[in-house]
This record gives sequence, C-alpha cells and structure tokens, in this order.
Amino acid sequence: MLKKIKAISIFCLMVTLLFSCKKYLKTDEYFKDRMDLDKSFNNVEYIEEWLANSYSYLTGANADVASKGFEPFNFSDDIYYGDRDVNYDVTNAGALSYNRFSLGNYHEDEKQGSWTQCYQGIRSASIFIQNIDNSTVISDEDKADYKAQARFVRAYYYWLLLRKYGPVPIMPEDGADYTDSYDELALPRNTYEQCAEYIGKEMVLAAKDLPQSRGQLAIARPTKGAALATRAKVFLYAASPLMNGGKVSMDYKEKLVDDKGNPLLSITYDESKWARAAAAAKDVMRLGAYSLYVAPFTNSGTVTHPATIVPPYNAEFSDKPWPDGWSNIDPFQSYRALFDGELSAAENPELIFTRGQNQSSEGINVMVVHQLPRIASGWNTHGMTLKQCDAYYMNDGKDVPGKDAEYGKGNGSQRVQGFVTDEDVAEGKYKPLEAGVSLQFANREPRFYASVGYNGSVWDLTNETEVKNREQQVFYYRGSGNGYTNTMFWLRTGIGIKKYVNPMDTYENNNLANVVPKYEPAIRYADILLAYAESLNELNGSYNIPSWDSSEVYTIARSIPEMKSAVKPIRIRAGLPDFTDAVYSSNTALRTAIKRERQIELMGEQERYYDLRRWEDATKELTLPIYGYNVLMTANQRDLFHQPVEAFALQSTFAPKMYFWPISIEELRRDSRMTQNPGWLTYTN
Amino acid sequence: MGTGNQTNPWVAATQTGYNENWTNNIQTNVTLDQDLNFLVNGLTFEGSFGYDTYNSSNIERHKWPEQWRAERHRDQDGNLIFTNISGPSVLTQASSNDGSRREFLIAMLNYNHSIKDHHIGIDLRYNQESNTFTQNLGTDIKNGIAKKNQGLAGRAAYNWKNRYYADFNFGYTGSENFSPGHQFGFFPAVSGAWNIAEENFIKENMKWINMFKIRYSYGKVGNDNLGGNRFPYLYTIDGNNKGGYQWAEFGNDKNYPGLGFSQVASPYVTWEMATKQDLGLDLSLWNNQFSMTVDAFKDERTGIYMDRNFLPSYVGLTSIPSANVGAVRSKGIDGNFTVQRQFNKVHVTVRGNITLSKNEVLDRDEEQSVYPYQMQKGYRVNQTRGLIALGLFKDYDDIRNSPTQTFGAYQPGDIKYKDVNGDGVINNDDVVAVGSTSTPNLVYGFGASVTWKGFDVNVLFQGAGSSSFFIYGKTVYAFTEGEWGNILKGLLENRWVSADISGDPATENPNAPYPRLSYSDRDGNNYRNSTFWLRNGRYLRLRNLDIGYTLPKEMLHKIHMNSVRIYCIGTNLFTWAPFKLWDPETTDPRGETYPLIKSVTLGLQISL
Repeated sequence: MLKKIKAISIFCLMVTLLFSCKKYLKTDEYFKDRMDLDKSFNNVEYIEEWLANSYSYLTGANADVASKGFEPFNFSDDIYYGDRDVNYDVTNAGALSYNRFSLGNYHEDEKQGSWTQCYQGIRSASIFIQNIDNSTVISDEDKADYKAQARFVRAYYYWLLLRKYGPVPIMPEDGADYTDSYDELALPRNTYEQCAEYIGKEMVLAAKDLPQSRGQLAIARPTKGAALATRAKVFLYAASPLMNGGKVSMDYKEKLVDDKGNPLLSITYDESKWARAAAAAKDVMRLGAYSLYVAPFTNSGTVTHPATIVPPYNAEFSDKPWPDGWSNIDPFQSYRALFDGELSAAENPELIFTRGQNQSSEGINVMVVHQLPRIASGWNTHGMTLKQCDAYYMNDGKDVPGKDAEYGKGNGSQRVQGFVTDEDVAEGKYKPLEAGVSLQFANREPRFYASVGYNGSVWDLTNETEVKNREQQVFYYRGSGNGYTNTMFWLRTGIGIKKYVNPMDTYENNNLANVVPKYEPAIRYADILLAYAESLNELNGSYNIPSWDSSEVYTIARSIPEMKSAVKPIRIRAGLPDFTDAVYSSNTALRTAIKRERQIELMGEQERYYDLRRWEDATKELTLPIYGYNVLMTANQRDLFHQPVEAFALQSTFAPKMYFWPISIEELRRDSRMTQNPGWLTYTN
Repeated sequence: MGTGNQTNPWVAATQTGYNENWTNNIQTNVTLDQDLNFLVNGLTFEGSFGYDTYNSSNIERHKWPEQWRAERHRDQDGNLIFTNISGPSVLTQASSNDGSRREFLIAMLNYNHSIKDHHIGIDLRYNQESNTFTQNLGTDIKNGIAKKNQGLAGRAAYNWKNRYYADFNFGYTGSENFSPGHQFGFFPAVSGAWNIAEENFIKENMKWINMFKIRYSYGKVGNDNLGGNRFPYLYTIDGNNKGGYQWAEFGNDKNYPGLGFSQVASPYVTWEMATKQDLGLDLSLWNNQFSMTVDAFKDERTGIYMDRNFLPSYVGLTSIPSANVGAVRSKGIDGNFTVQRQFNKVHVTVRGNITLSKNEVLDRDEEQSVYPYQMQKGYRVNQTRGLIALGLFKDYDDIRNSPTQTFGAYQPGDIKYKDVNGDGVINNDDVVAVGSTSTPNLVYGFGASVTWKGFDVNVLFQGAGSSSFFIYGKTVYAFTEGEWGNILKGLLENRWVSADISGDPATENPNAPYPRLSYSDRDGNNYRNSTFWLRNGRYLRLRNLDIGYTLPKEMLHKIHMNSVRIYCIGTNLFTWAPFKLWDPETTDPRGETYPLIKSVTLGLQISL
C-alpha cells in the first residue's frame, strides 16, 4: 500500500514538473512591449511615419528634377554641367562628368542608388498596403486614402525604374520572401508591356481612393491626378518607338531579352498603344482639376517684374483674353513663375505631382547656384547648348535666323549680326535686351527670356546685401570674370540657364538661404497636354477606350480639334501663335513640332534625356557635335564670340547601349535569372 | 593606450598602473537521491537543483609616463636626438562590472540491471537551465532575457560480457533563442563496440593483449549559440536610419519621421546541426606497456548560422536577415600512443599524439561567380588565397609580352603574376586558392621521460604542419605605412637591383626573393597577397627540456627534509622551420608581436 502511495506521488510530481516546464522557453511576455506591426498600424502617428518612410525613398537618386550629383539625366543635348570633371580638378576623380555621361563612358556600378532605393520603397509601401487594412484606429475613408497613397508611391517607384532601366522584375504583391533560397528568389525581368500594365492598373486603383486636391499641408501627397498622370506618362512611353516596334532600335530590341530569350520590348508595332496613351492623358484632362498657369498682363512694372512685353500683333490671338488669346496675360511671367519659387505649389493649377520640400543635397536650389554667374558667387557651370538656345522660337513663331546652320540643316538663313545700342535701349527696342547684347537674342519668344542666360542678360540678384551688386549684366567673354578661365567654372558654350532662377536668387557667402525655395515640378499639366497631342497624332484608326473609372467610353482618333485643344493653350500661354493648320494636318510636321515644343517647354525637367531615347531620336540628335559661342573670344572680339563653334570642352555620342542604364554587376551576381541590358558587362564577361 | 606599438615592453609591463578585481561566485546545489527498488529492481531517481550567482567588479587605474623616442640620426655634436612621443598622464581610473545568475534543475531516472552476462542500463533525464546576465545589458530588452535550455535526454546501453556493446542516446533539447516551432532539436546517436580482447580465443591464446577494442559511433549534436545574436526570429521596428517625409509646402510644416523595419526577422533560424561519425581503436598490449588510441572521424556541420549578405537589392531590405545556410565537412584522424618500459633501474616513457584533419566548405552564403575557383564552396575553411607569382619582370620586353597587370604602375624588378583565367588582364579575378589554410591541418607532439635513480629527464617536442600564411605589412614591404628608415637586412641584400644602379647585370635576378625597392607602393603591384609572399607555416620545436636530480631520501632524513630536487628547465630552446624571419607559431603575419620567450630556468625545490 505504502509503495503505491509513493509511486503515485512520484508520478504526480513528475507530471506537475512537466506541465510547469511547458512554458519554460516562452519569452513572449518579455516582448509584448516591443514595437510590432500590429501596434505600428494602430496608431495614427505611427501610420503616418510608415507612410513617410515609404515616400522617403523618392528623394536623392530618385528625384525627377535635381542637380547632376543625383540626376545627370536632367542634362542631355539641351543643357550640360561643366563641373565634376577630373580633367579640370583632380579631386573629382570618379565623378561622372558630363562628357563621360554623354559619351556613354560610365560603367555598370555607377549611379545605381536609384535601383536599391526604389525597391526599398516598394517593400516599405507593400508592407503598408498589407497591414493598413487591419488597423482599427482610423476610419475607412482614411484607410482607403492611406492605402491609395502607398499604392501610388509603389507604382511610382516602378515607373522610375522602368524609365531608367527599362523592364524590371515586378515583386509579388506582399513583397519577395527573403527567407527563400537564392535560387527561389531569383526573378526574371518582366516585359516592358507587363510593367506598364501593372503600373497602369495600380494607378487606377490608387486614383479611385485619392482625393482630387490637397491643401498646403499635404502638397507632396499624391492626388487622383498624380496617379492618372503617371499612368498617362507610362502609357506614352510604352507606345513610343523604342518600346513599340520602332525600326531604328530593332537590333537592340532583339537583344534585350529575359532569361528565356523572350524580347522585353515589343518587336511589332501596335498602334492601339498610342490610343491607350491618348486615353490615359485624356483621363487627366477630363478630371477638370488642372489648367495652365497664367500671370496677368501688367503695363506698369518693376525692374524684376517688368511691364508685360506684348508679343507682336497677331490677329487671331492678340485681342482675345486667355485662353483664346494673350491679351490679358504676361507670357514671360506666366512661364517664369512656374519654376522660380514665386508661385507656391498650392497656387499652381498645373502642378500635378511634386516632392515639394523633399529635395536632397542636390536639390533645385543647388542646381540654381550652379547656374548663377561668378559675380553672384554662383558656380557658373550649368549651361545651355546652342541647339537648345536656337530651339526657342522668335516672338512671332518663326525660327531664329541661322538655326541649325552649323548642322547643315535649317532654312538657309544666316545669324543676325549686330548688337543692341544705347539708343536702341533708350527707344525701348528689343526688350528686354540691354545695350551690348547680340541681336541674335532679340525678339525671341517669352520662354526664351525666362529660360536662357544669354550673353549680356541681366541677373537681378536682389538678395545681394549691397545694392551695387544687384542688377548685373553678365557677359561670358573671356576675361570678363564670368567667361572662360582656367578653372572648372565657366560656361562651355557661353550660354547660361535662367530657368528656376528667381530675381532674388544669389549665392552670396555660399549661403543657400539666398536662394528662394522652389518646389519640384515632377509632373506638370503641360507635359500631359503634349502627351495627349503626341499620341493622337500617331493614330490612323479610331479606338473606343473606356475611361479610367469606366464611367464613359472615349472615341480616340487623330482629330485636329482634339490635338489643338491640348497644344494651343501651351502656345498661347507662351505668347506664341498656335501651329498653322498645315502643321496640324501633317502627321510628320506635327510630330516634329510637338517634339520641339517638349524640348522648349520641359527643358530642365528631366524629360529630354528620356524623350530622345523613347523616340529613337537619340541616334540622330546625340551624335551631333555640341555647338556654342566662341568662349575664347574677349569683349573686343564680340563679333567672333557670337559666331558659333563646336564647344571644344563638350562631347556627345550615342550607342544603342545608352538606351537604358546598365544593371549593376552585383545585382546580376545575386539573381541568376536577371539579364543585363544589351551592350553592358555581366559578371560572366 | 598611450602610443601604441612605439611603447617599449618595460613601460607596458611596469609603468602603466594597476587593476583591481573583485569576484564573487556562489554555487548552491541541492540533490535528492531516491532508490526505487520497491517499484522496479535497479531503478533510482535523482533530482538536483542548483542556483549560482556570479558578480565581479573591475577597477582599472591607468597612468602613463612621459616617453621619448631616440631618432635615427644624431645632432652635430654627436648626441642622440630625442623626440617626445607622449606626455605624462597621471593616474586615472575606469570601472566596470559583470554579473550573471544560473539556475538549473535536473531530474533523472536510472535503471541498471544485469542478468547473467547481459548488462542493461537505461537513463532518462530531464533538465532545464537558465543563465541570466545582470550587468551591461544595453537598452535592448532582448539582452536581459535569460538564456534558457530545456531538454529530455535518454540513454539505453547494453553489453554482453563486456564484450559486445550497443548504445543508443538521444537528446531532445529546446532553446529560448528560436521561434516557437523551431525551438526544439532532436539529436540521436548510436554506437557499438567490440572488445576483441574479451573473446575466449584471445584470452586463452594471446594473453599479451590486454585490450583490443573497436568502436563506432554515429550521432547528431546541435548548437544554439549564435555568437551573441539573441532572438534572430524577432524583428525590430523603429525609426533608426528611416527617412521621413515633409508633406507641406515651403513655409509650412507637416513632417513625419520614418518608421520601418530596422531589423527584419529571420523566423526559421534553428539549431546548427553536426553529424559526427567516429571509428576508433583502443589497444593495450604487454601489460599495458604499449597502449594506443586511434580515431578516424568525419563531421558534417550543416545549417551553420550566417548572415544572408547576397540577397538581390530588389528584395528591398534595409537590413540583413540570417539563416541556417552553411555546411562544412571535416575529416581526419586523431591518435596517441604511450610506451612504458623498465630496463633495470631505468624507467622510460615515450608518448606521442597526432591530429590530422581536413575540411571542405559544402555550402555557404555567397554570390555567384563565373569562376568556380573564386567561390569558397568546395574549398577549405580559412583557405589562403592570392595571385600566383611568376617571379620578377626581367625587362620591358618581358612586360610587353605579358598580360596587363592592373594594380598600378610596374616596371622590371616588379612581381609578375599568372593570368589564371586567360583574359589577358591580371586583376582580382586571377586570385586563386594557393597554399593551405591559415590554421594548421596537422598538429603533433611527442615526448619522452627517463628516470634513473634520482635523475630524471623530460623532453617534449611539438609541431604543426600543412598551413600557410601571407606575410605583409611594413616589416616586409619596404618603406610602406609611413616607414622610411630601417628595413630588414634581407630585403636589401636579396632584392632585384637594376644593372643601371649596380653596374652588374647579375643583380637583375628574376628569381630574387624580394622585388626592387620602391617607395610607398602600398597598394601597388608588388604588395598584395600572392605566392611571392606566401610562406609555409610548418614547424617543429623543442617545447620543453627538463633535467632534474632528486636527492636520495636517506640523506635528507638526516637533515629533516622531505624532498629536495635540483632542476633545469628550458622552454622553446630550438625551432626547426622553413620560415626564418620570425616565430612561425605567432600567428601575426606582420611580424610585429613579441615572439614566444625562450627561457632557461635553474631551480631548487625543497619540501620540509
């Protein structure tokens, strides 16, 4: 009996022991106070912080408009940068100079920050999208808005990747599972069309829940229009020759394949892609949320904001008020204020998407101090090519005499000789030119004066502490202080850039606070309008395409009134007559005109670099030598200065491998299914 | 501290202050033994509970004298020139402490029974143990949580007449360090042995065999110690290095800092496993005058815990996860022997041991390479890697006719490398496995002791082999790292010298042991790991020689002493090695550490 009791008690002891031991290794209770996913999505502050982090990857190397340290892509055959060149300064070894960039002499490991950053943003946004639904602390509307914001930025990262690298791998909806083996994780590149479709779909989903507009405190948050405009740009790219059966790059397209050898760009032409692009642009236009900004006409001005310089009389446009004519607007101020920080983002009716203040150490203010002349303590290294300078129309809509004569093209005319005299100024001729300025710069369109730092233009510099340092006429003659020197800091073409420069801006004491803050024009309505016209112009057939929210069906065809509705406002706002009916009725003439309009209107907004590629025009345009004025000439040789020469310090060429940026060797080593863009090294060769 | 390697050993040893340590260590252990024969004959229960605490405090008091360096040249009067290299520092102090607590509980059931020649033993054991660190925990609560193990282990042993043995073991052990579901690992093992000496035909016919046992074991063991990385299955969400965003227009403020994963979770991390096999032989002959043990082993470690450094960027992580991804196989033999013999009054003992092993990386975290020889997979752990040197360039024709080397400018007298991949360019793609490994694959020792009357002599030799290392640094790279004065004599005498300088074409020796002298060529062509600088780490040394004489007891009794021994001990008296520049046993490839001390001690040992 005693034995039994003993045995039972020992058995009981053992059982209790085992049960108490079951929890022995549990550590949850220690960790319950740590931050976890659930907590971070059940607190409004934390939700905002997650989202802020998802957006934070949009800055730096992922900016749309920024200085060359992050965005050399802002510089093509239109503008250039002269610094960051080891040939002038040994401390710049390894920097990507303009020449190295435009000659394709960069390598696979350069400027790769955007790849990593985009995908980090994609992951952050994916986590947000996966978890926000479980949140119980916010309303369903807020939830939908937050989710749409995350969805927008995720798709936007894909757009940035697609534009720079071409087709890229699309991640699974909830992010790649990093616990998989390297082999399981290896993803091939999706086709361009798949990427475009994916971005388009995601942007429609986002647009459904995004509001039409946001206030001053949310200017950097996306709107319905931002989502639809990104989609319109993606579809425009997907319809363009490089992606859509263009013949020039056919060799290249055949080589750009995935790991199974399937081409990633469309080999065959599909006209309906243009219709899709046009419909997507129309979706933005139909929102009714955007219009071009115009500044009012004024006949009493100040030095920095002069009285409106009225364009030459045009029977069709001079007498009508905006939007049918320019009688009540100031075209120069309308264009300048869009970029120089004078107009706030909230006041700007044509701003569709902006990163607002989220600019890096290479922001637009940094770009501006590189445009400012030495006299304003500026770096004096960002300049404009003669090609871009000549692209601007005369104020009556004609070409400038001598345009493209150096290339053996043009209309046979010669450049204008002579200079503005003091008498001319006194008589009020050639406004806004001052005395001593070449007449090549006289009577140009208003956007010219808002964009070009021509030789002898006046820089207001009103933030200079000393009055005598303001209102400086800057010449780029050798020996003039702002002209050629044996340093890095001179304009290789003798032409500067005024776009983004506010009359107040100066770089006195190397203080960036002397530069008026400028928001970034990531997507502008003018861009969408031109995309609409460009897409319609390519159509032969007629297409029925539902609107983004399927509320209506558009009939999309090449219609002159439709194209006019998009192009005309841009021309009138610029104080220029609309294109003639002869231009509108010719597919090729209008294509040329629209390309030139993009070149002018969107200069310095990181469009030209990519436009030339998608149009397959890079082989023609970038292989031309870069011309400028003769910077070695002194003020006494001003006639010679204004005879264009090849800019000896600038070089450019194009090889098909420059269509898309190379994928880093490291990424290729880590993903066995990744394929390199044609013409670049892989880790196996 | 102070001036680093310019300080002399006397200062370092005697002039830099003193430390004060205070250590508290209390161990308690309660054990309960209960005989359970009343239930089953041969069954016992044992339970024990322990509670240990440990505390230590450490106060370091530092000071530093004024120090001067004698320059390499003298002034015009012939006096030494001194340069001040450090000012004096008065005594300062720093204190630190450390502490931990250990609790454990063991409960064990034990069954032993023999029926005739059958011997059976069964153990079942439960244990749990926790180690808590109580000091220097930092801010992360992970570090304050006890390290815990919990396990059930069992053993069943059977032998028949101590002749045939069979054992089965298992451990089922859990660790707090892993996520629920991955906490427990199962580690079984089996072994068998046959003691041939117990067989009747040996017992009867070969009595000189005392023991002749063959054994084999196969088993798995686990490791949950991930090198201080606690709870890899947990993620950390915070704002560290997380960018934020400003939503508002210029002149307004609606900024949020960022929040996100600063460390992602590695949810499936679990035990590292090792599968161990061992085939052994125990032999003892002639009344144990000769005995030896030989083991051949093969270990395969799998699931080695590693960071996953090579995830594609498109995964989008901002931190590095880890996983059980590595695998290493090592094979080898391990043996020792002892011979003891008495020749009249001379007693001789000879002992020896040897370990020879080789391993191979079967898998590890690494990215793809087009050249298989650049992967670690398939090679040994710590494999030395470098370029293959083909001597020195003879002349410019030689340079023109050779592949282009990409490590800076080079000229005749510089090292010429082999183009391994044949691409016409010498670069890092031509780095291959050369030599052996930095740790020796062969370690051996042997020794003897002889006693005769009061005299005794002991010798111990120790050696290592099958290892290699690169020498580098300012000791062998002349005039680098800011050094411009002295270099080793050998560098000067055995170098390549241009005939333009020496006037003698014979000094342009393409096989010279050192390249041409040059300044600050630190990262250049010559000064990089290659077979030119690869050295064999093999050595054999006389570790100990001990000669003594013990005075006879009878003599001592008269002067009321217990024992008196006069002896002489020499350590590190001789070393035989192909590498002569410095002690090959110091693992310093730069030759800048103090070598092992060679010492001779004369002693008198008296006990009263």
